[in-house]
Amino acid sequence: MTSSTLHIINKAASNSQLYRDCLDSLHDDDGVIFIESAVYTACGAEPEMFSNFNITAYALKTDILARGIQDKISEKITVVDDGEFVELCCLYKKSVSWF
Amino acid sequence: MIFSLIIYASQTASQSEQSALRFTRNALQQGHTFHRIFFYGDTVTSMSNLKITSRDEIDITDQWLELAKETDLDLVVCIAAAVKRGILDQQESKRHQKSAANLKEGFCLSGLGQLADAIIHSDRVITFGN
Repeated sequence: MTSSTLHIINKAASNSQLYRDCLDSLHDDDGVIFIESAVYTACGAEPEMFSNFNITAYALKTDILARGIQDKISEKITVVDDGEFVELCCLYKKSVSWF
Repeated sequence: MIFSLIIYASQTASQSEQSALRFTRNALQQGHTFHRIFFYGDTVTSMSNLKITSRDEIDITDQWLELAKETDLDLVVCIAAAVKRGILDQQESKRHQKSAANLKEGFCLSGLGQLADAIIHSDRVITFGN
């Protein structure tokens, strides 16, 4: 178990203030998981915005498939299924939801 | 692990309640337990017994109830959020002198004390926002 925080984001990066607030509160070794419409942030060069931090970024497979963007996901993203999302919530000691 | 969830979002405007339901099913399958599911904010409108779901749509509220029947989930609806949106149980209907009650059977109205209790007694509290 890690004492770091899992940040759960469910909005696309067009919600720029939400992402700024999240970035302001990130620490190295935290995790970020993109769920619902936030999975668009897992595409292409979008995850670069987190490159100043040593974090692990995840995206929820079900929501990626629902939006048909499975071929556009960045290599920097770890795609997880619903069961693995639960496991991440156990692995990280705390979670913060950004919405 | 013992989980509790806080759900904020209106079922008609957001995917969050569906995400929360999927999360709950998967956690239960993995052998985790839930102390409480706390419905807060606009999500309380989902618990109206007068709500009609189109025939080609899934009624997530009914799915919560089915899951609760199988697994004894404690489904609590925030009383302050509910009464201001016109979601009343018999007791609140009587107290506010209204003509009817409409809280769906299987859910109960309660206060933020129940949320505090859930936070104290759970290993993890996960929020599904709007």
